[in-house]
Amino acid sequence: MSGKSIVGSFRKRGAIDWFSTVSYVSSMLLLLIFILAPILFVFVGVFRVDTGWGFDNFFRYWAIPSMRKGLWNALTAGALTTVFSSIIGLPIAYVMTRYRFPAFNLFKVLLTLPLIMPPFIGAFSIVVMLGRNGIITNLLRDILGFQLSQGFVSPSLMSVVIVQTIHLWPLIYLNTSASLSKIDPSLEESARNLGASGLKLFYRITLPLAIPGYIAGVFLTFIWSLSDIGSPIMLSFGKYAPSQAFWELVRVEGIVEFASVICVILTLISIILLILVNRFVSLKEYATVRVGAASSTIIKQARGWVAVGFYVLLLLVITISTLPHVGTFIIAFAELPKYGSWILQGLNLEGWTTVFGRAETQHLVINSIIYATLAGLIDVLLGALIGFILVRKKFVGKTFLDVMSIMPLAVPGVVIALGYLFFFSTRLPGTTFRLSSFWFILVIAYSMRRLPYSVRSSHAVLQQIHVSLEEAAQNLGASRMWTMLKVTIPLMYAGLIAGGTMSFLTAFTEVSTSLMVQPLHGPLGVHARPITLGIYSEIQRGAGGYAAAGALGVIQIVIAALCFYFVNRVVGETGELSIGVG
Amino acid sequence: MKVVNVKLVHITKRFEDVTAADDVCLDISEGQFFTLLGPSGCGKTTILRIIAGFTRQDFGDVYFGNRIINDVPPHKRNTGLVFQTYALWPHMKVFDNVAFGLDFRDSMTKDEKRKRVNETLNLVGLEGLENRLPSQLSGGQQQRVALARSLVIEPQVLLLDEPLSNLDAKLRVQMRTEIKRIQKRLGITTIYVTHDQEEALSISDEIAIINMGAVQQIGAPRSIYEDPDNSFVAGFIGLANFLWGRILEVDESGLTATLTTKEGLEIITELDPDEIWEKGGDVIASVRPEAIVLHEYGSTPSPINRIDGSVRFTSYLGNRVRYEIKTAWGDTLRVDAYNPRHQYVFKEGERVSMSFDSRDVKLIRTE
Repeated sequence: MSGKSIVGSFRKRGAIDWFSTVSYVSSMLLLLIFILAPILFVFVGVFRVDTGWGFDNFFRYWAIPSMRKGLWNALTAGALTTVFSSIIGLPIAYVMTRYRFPAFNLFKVLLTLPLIMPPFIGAFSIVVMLGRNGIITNLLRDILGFQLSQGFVSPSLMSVVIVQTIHLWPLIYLNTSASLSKIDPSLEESARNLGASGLKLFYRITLPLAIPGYIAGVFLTFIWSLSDIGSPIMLSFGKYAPSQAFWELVRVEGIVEFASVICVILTLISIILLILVNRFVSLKEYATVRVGAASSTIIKQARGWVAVGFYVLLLLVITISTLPHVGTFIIAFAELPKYGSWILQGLNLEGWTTVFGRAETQHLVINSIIYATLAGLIDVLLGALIGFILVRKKFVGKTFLDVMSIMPLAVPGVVIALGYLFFFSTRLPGTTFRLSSFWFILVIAYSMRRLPYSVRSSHAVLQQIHVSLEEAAQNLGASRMWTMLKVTIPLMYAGLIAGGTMSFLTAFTEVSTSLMVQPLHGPLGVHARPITLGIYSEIQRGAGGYAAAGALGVIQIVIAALCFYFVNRVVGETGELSIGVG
Repeated sequence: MKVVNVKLVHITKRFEDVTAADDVCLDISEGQFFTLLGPSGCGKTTILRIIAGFTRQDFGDVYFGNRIINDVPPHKRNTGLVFQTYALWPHMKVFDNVAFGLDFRDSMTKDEKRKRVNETLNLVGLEGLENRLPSQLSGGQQQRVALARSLVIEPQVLLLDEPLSNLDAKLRVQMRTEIKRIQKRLGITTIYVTHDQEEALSISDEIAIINMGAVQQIGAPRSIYEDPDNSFVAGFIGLANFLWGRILEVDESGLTATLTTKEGLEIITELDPDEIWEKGGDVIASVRPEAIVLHEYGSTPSPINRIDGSVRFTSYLGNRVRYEIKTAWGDTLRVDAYNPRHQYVFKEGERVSMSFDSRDVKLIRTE
């Protein structure tokens, strides 16, 4: 594709639009270098063997039973987590979109909390609460005589599924409710008018109409589960593909090629899934038939026993899924009970003095704030630009740009992390400089992983902003730039702020790249490690590091909660949060 | 098909501070094409939703036949409601959309169902489109699917909520004749909601004019237009020129009256023999634009019912010319001159005289 044809294709829609051309070329280049190239690098590298090229790495991998088992376990966990998340998420989505009751808004906020479970320490605190010697396990034994020799969670696949479900079910809830709340009430009313009611109405009309959102939720849950490094490690459950990829990288006698093989397999699985999702749910056909919305008469006030039932359901779910948060606070502030007991030994602020006492740990927090802020800004800017040219412009390679910008969504985080580690640790031609030793690589990795969401959200917002609003401004004499500044951007404002904050948040709690790509120089000097890596290594230090890990986890939870609060204030009732894959 | 009459008795519904239905009483007989007509936001859709069961009235009863159906849920009422937005399910093909309601009716075999759906699709002129998705249909076709879906269940009552408002003007006229044809053929009791008076006048057996939740007048199209009960109806249906005045005298037969307007103009009018008018009563004399004839200034054939003025505005509308005439006392009267092809068209600023037949003056009591 030549530069001439790009400009030419822009020209069709009016004067030479240097602004669009520059946005197009630069975003295309950025995505090629920072999304496509690292992933391709892994894919190509996996076929390289001593003798040249071949499938040897796959055969070697496949020959090891524990590796096969790890892959099988990851797929099983993904499927089971999706099933359990659906069992919790679907009813809650229905209740939260069709009913109103006192304290509704409070519940709405509480129900999204599980998603901001701090990495490692969240899963770890589930063990502290529910493990064989867990606080709650012991408490139930002493109070109710309820004996569980292994605790609720143990080093088993089922426990991985439990931890993942506690963390991920809101993905199903949020995506399904987005679909549910968009259903034109007259579609259900007409079914009732023709005689449908109750369950029949639900599974013949409501459910099929909510399928696009639900399937999106299923897909995200599955992919997220498939890139979960943290929970299996914290549960000491070894045979789990993503964690295995990580171990093969960091173990002294690890086989680096196996990490690549795992990544390639995981990527292929998710791409196949994405294609299936697109084939079975033709999303476009669902979207079209909507002339206008009737009054939202289908939202009912819950009263009496129905309301009581809702409260019981919601409180139960919230109690269980905020266990990681409660546990993290306990670890951060309390002296943990003696073996076999559930009684906390009193206040313990050692973790905090550790965190704030050393420059290295102070820098963890500051680094992550810097990284995440920059990643959020990049996402806002790049997301808006790419969204803008995708919606408003016609040009060669549009589909390609579209696919590239969505790719990080379909590719497990561990794959991108590995791609970054391999691709950017090659020396820049003619120098000794490696991009991977420079802290900014983490910023780029964070922003690229979250980019699909900011592109999608500005894409969606721009489609709702009718082009005539911009044309009206131009008709009255405003230039393109002025129109963008005075009309388009103000209309996108809430979406951009919300998107940027969510990018910040995911970057702040990101796991895969934080763990694998370890730059040598940070913005403040030698310490470049982000907070997630800090939590991991504190826990690895053993009992002495738990409190500090807990304190870091509390910092993550508090900052995340502030972000949620802020986004809710900006976006308000009407907006939607797109909460994404970490 | 079991056809019923529908009765609304003292139906009242308030939404916070808006009264959507204010003591509405309607008696719609079997097989009638009945229209609820009113400006947007007047409460006509609320009345329809009360009949369908989607909105619960605060007071009053709804009857289907002799049965009070207040407590019957929507899915048991056996009404066929056609939504303004059509509300076709995007995930079902045309056939499945139409067949949907049959699943909740007396058990039918697959073949019977297929036959019934196909018959109905033929009735609305959609044969051959069974396997399309709603998104693959034009607006007019979607409208027909919505109609077929409501008809296939053989409802006791057909309810149509502004079904044509999303179609373009030509299609709208075509579809309304179509709806009327189908309704006549099936003989089904039909309640139709619209804000379009031409639509209402052309297809209804009876019309109820609604304003601010209250029924203003019920009657056949002709009597609504020619005999409006109050100034709202006279002004809403077609256009009317209002002259405020007082009855000066009623002749012995009770068939003609003389009145003076506020401005001292004398008007002679024929009276409806059913109504009794008292001398000295305050009235509004309403005259339709098409009932007024324009003349060159001073050349009216008789001095009775004559008003002078000057042309303020002329608009040529093809089949007629609409004038706005400014009277000596500053009011504006509207006058329609039909078939202007061979007529002199008065220019703006020209002085003219207007006259009208005493039979074309309709008296309305002031409230």
